[in-house]
Amino acid sequence: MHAPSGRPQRPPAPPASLVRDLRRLLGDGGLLLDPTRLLAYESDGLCLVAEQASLVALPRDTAQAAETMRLLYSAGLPVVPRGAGTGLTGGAAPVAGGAVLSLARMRRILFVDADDRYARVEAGVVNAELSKAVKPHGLYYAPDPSSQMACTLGGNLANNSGGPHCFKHGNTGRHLLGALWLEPDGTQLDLSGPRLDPEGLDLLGFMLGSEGTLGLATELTLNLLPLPERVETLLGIFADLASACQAVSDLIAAGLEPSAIEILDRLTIEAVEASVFRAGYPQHAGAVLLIECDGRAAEVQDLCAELERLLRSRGAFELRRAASESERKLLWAGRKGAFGAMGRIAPDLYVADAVVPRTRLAELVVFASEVCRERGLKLANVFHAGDGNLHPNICYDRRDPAEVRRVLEAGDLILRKCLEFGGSLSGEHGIGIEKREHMCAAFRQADLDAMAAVRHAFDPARRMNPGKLLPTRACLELRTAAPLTAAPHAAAPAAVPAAVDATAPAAAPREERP
Amino acid sequence: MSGTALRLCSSLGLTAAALELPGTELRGTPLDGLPQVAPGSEAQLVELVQRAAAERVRLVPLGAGLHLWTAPWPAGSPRPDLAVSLRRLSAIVAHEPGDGTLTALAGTPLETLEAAAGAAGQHLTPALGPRFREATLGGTLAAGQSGWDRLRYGPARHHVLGARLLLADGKVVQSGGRLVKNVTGYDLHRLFVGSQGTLGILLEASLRLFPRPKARARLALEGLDEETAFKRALALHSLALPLEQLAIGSLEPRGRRVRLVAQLAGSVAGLAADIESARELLPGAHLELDPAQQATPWSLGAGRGEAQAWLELAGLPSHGLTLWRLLGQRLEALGIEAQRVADPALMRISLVGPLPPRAALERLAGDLPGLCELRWTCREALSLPASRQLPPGLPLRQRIESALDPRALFPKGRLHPAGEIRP
Repeated sequence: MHAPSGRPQRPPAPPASLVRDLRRLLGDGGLLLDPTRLLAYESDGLCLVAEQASLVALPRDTAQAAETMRLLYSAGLPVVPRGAGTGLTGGAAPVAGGAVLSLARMRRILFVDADDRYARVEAGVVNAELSKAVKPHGLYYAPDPSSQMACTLGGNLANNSGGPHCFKHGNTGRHLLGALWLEPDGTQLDLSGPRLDPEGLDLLGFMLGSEGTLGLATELTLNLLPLPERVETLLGIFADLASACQAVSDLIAAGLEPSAIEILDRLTIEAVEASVFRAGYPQHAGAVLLIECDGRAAEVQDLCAELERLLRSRGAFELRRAASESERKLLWAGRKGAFGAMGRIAPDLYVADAVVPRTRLAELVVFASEVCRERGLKLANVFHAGDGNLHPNICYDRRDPAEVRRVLEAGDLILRKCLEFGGSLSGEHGIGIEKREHMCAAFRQADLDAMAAVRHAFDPARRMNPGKLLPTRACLELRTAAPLTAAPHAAAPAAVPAAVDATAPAAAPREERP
Repeated sequence: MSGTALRLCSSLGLTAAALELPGTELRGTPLDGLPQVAPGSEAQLVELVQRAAAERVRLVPLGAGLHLWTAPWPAGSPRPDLAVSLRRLSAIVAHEPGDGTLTALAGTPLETLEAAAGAAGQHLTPALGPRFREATLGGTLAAGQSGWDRLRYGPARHHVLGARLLLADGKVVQSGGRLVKNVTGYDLHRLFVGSQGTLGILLEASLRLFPRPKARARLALEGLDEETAFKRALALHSLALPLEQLAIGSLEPRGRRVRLVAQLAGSVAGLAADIESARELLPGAHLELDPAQQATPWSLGAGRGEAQAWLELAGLPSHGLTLWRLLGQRLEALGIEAQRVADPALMRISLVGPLPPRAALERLAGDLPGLCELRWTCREALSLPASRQLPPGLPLRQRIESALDPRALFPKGRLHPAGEIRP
């Protein structure tokens, strides 16, 4: 976890000729220079990191984006691509004095091919808008990050985003059929497809999850799925979190494949039930498994029956099945509103993101509880159990510097334990700035060198989102430097609010999956 | 055989034999007369690569050699000196049924992996079918192959979770992991899958496993006309049935009558209902429950053994019938006696039958329109020039190749013309 930076310095003004050319290209509304307006772009969902860009460019289409990239490249400015800025690791935080290229005005769904089940969209289209637009064709777009009401499809490509239902349907990469890509100097690379297989090297595959460090996708070709005939939502109620985790591994071993498997623990349930997201979760439970099955009616019935048998045999003392569409929606509203609801139990929330093999889930949650208990911290768990993707949420008050230090330390210990268990640093939030230096714990120098070599092939002049994803210094230097935990000034009074999961704007109702 | 390559092998205690690939003619290709070795340990392989790099001995990595013809070997590309087979580096490194993942060394035969997954009630993709039992994990992935199970699971590359890779400088690097969900670092392994051995050597890969379907059914209907067959196939597909295979095959080389085969797989109760839905679209179809033999769409569609040659056209499903007819007309005009088999949901058409004369294949390729992507995957392709257009972003592709393999130790030009490798 990254220690908070102080207030960003006001950067030098961009060159006058660049400003003139960009204004001519983008119009007044497409170029932001006023420091007060730039403030809105100084962070993404990781508010601990703030920097001020010298300009924000908002092109309206691929041609404008390409010309913008060309001009910025010629002027020597680093470029940070930005979707909705909901990322949680600082991936879209500006580089001081650099440019932010926002896709906020590229929001057109260019066309929908209902026969061949795909859509071509601009990168700034909001995830949930696509499913809404294709619903009349009996189709939907499967990846559903919790921030889907706000996050953009371009940002989803940059993070290879998942969501609860990627357990069955896969994350963004499994639905990406093509992209129109801009190289750092604005050269257009047409990989828009749709294609069955890549032509030569799988460039798109490498671009997935590259966090804006290789170039910019301006248009995406995305696969659509037929709306399922039947959707069922189950709630398995357990006495404790570890047995709910064990049940997840057991159902995978048994070959049962629902579309989503989520876990909420007692503290999360209490928070949700006390909030506007009240879903009727049982408050006497140690943990609940929220499971959804979708598909053909008979298949779903069959699967639900098997799941219920297995959950009961693994210690679920109560099972519920949503009896109506409204009840189903309510159960999901509780899950998706969980982060917002936690505002009731603590002023600040540190949302960690880590992955372990699904056989180690139970051990890891026990470890995380222990680490937090020892440090007097409240831990709430709500996560994508089916994918082994944990979100330990540590409650704290940023006005208490000692507590902030303990939170950072706990987060660091949990991440390291994940690696020890064969897990990784991130399941869906990415590396950005937040976990950049942890990369040395996850990979060896040779691994990082090979990654850096390919990054350099994409971006020889190092203009795209510099300072993100890979450690900025050699790992050896980092290992001999100060530990990666909290800096003493971590919670200086001037620090901006800590990262609360942007996946859950508290008031906005969630788009429900069809 | 290159003297340097042989000296290098013998200094490492490796015995070289002439490269022979089952059923593939190497004459006239850069592989003709190439010596082949199979290191017995990873340490030996790493040393071989390091020494080869130092002595400028060009290497061709391969598994069982079954997929070397899935990309061309352009005549002008630099001649390799030594083929290195990974088939002795064969072992399952980890298999966690409760995690649904499997990790194996690159030389492990797919058959071994399928058996291990199957014993735990799991399915491993890609499933290549009986002809490729000996195909290795590394060779299959490097060749970018997906299996007969693609319709259900998608392309194999989506399920490669991570890999260990041996680079041209002799360094072993890790990419990804053994996790079903992971966005940590750049996915180098995605570049290696389908790279045809041009970037380096896949040493080990981790795959996601799937629950094995509990029941399977096959419906076949013969004698339909082309138009009805395509319409019904796409209607089946849009019902979101648990389809595992969908194939349309011409009953004879020049006729208009076809066979339509649909294979469903799922849970026992679910399948019974799905068979009823499918039958409404395929009245009178012959139903076979739990067909014993796994089959590729090609053998299902053609109604007989495996194909001898493939010329693959890939387009959009809605263009299927147009492409099918066009291909039929061209085959007839060129006097090529081959059956056509289409995979209508994925929209690939292949030729099944005796290998047409090379000149006819080249004419055929020249005649087909920009409506589809043409991919040579017949054995003749070994010596055919790449007939496709240059892929977009050639300078970027060359920069990636030279970033990972600056001295072109591994073959270049298989994915696109080699050009000059930039330092």
